[in-house]
Amino acid sequence: MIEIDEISKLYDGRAVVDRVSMQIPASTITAIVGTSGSGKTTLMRMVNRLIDQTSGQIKINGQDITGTQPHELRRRIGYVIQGHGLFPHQTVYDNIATVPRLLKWDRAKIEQKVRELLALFQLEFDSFARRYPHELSGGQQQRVGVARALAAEPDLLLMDEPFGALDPIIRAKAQSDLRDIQRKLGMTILLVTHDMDEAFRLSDRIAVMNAGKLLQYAEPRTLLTHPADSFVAEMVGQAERAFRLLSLNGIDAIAEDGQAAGAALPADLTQREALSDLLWSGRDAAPIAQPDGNAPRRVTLSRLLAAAAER
Amino acid sequence: MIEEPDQPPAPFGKRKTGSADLIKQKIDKLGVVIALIAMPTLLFVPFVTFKANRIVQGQPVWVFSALPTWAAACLMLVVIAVLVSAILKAGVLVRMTAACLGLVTVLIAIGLAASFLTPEGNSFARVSTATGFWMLLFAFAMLLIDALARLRPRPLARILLLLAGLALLGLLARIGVWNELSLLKEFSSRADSFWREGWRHLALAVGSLVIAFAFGLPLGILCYRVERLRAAILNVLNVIQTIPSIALFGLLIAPLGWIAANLPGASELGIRGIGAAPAFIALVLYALLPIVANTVSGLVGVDAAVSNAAKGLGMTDGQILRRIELPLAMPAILTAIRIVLVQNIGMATIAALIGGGGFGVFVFQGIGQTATDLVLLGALPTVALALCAAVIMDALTELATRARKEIATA
Repeated sequence: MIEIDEISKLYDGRAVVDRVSMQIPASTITAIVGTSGSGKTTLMRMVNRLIDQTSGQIKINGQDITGTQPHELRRRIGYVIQGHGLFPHQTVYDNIATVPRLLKWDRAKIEQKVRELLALFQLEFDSFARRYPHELSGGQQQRVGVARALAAEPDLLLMDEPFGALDPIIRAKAQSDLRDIQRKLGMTILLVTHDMDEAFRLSDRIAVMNAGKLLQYAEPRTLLTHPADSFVAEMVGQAERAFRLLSLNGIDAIAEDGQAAGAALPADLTQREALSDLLWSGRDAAPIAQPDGNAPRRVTLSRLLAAAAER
Repeated sequence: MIEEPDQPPAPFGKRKTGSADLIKQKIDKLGVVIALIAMPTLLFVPFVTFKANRIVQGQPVWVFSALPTWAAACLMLVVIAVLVSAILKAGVLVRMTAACLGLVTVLIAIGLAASFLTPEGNSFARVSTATGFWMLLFAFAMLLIDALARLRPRPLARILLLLAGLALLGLLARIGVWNELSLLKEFSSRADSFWREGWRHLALAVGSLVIAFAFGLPLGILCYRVERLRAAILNVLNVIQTIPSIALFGLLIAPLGWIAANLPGASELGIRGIGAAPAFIALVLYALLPIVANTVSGLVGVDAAVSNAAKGLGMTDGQILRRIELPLAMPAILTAIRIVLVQNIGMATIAALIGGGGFGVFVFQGIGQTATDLVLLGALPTVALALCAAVIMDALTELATRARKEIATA
């Protein structure tokens, strides 16, 4: 759990981050969104003391971060930046082993960790460990960057525009992979992005910042249904509000027993995708793919429309 | 590669090439230039100079009078054969072999000419190299360099080629091919001091590089870290670079003389107003700019995302410098060392002006006595040293920067 209490950062008397307070529950993903210059990156970089706060207090698991040497604090916090920042003169293995080596883990433990992480990120040890960053694709570089941040098993992972350099298809895959890995390992993730879709796709909670101030910190649904002010409303995209809402939940939440005609929809589809499919195929209802022997289930247009207007 | 050494087979339908095209395809332009230099040289430019003694004005001697008829004919044949292979687009290896053959032949011919022209038992007569010899050497060296550039040998192969060349020259010298040549006569009367000054020269050049590196690297890091100092320090070093060496020696005489007189132990260490000490210090000062400037530009060139990531992962400033920034700046720093080494080998010649020793001793003696061969005795080894340093440092730089790709693809 991260407690941020009345934190401010002043440059030449001008507040870049202005008395921000928020409590980030453990094992959740929080996205900080805002326009450029909103102070979102500054706020994040104060958590691992890449920037020192002017006033206020940040506690991680009850401990004030100013009580630890900055470099020792950072070794306990994972850090991923845009464009991965991999060390070009080191192999994938050495890149991932960076923090364990700084912490003086023994060799066998480091190798075991690297193997485990490469497996987790679907990179085969034998063919990737000895490669250099320039020999990897963009998506692979990004995964190695996240693996490196997770090597010392941090409770907290900070990510600064982690998917900014990826093309849309690879980005979507990287986002869902991150979601899976977070569920598996259970760490807290604090992520800075200006991509609203990314924030909605990934996070349990979203913090909206503007001009150094935290405008609203809440679950995605709340941001859509009860935006704190007009800026938040605009930020979350009023025009698309209904579709965003649908994209937050899967179709199983509104599925009902019964038959329907046409091709079956995969069970893990979001409601937004299901709606799109129904509109496109001109159906009122569609069957949901079920394991053999289960009773047939379906999703209907009327249920979807009701869900889109739910608040 | 400048041009493909072998022409690809002509595609169908293009068989009928005009004779002009054919000539264009078969003729190598550089080869023509080399032939245009070498052939007239052989026929119309004096090959050696003959002097009755060391001081008098020499008489030019052309190839056909400088060599016994059979040797002149052999030289002629070899030169023609080499030029034909240079003009026609032969394979790179053929060209390289031809160039080497040409160089060795010319080098042997100069020795033969010297012994042929020197009257039996006459120890006063001098036979020196003349323009023709140098132009032939130059022409074939161009051919060799071109062939090497096309062949692009790997770093280790380049060093081996250099060693082979040096071994060949050593062998020719050992069997006494050039013993009657004026250059070698100058050498044999000064063999002791030649090697002494040679070591002195190397010590000046390499020693000042080591000291300049020891000061320049930290200075470069400082300039990188403290941006306010950067412009100031680089400007000072720039100004030093523009001071002529003689003026710098002059500037150093007073302070070093004072140190020698007043600091106990200083003069025992060899510190004096003139001699090796001011030369050494001048070389160090000149070497600082390339080292500091390249260190700064190498460090500045490190991707900000990389050092940012290193910091965010919890490296201390020292760890970032040692593990990330310096290794990434290494190619630029190695380049600086190469520049400085070659520059120092050349500039160490000036040290002789103020009694600092080195090959410059022969150069300045030779100028004083208007003995061209004595000047060459100082100049040729200096050029050879600089060339060797350049080849070896280039190879090492390439090995160091290529190492990571090599491991990766292995």
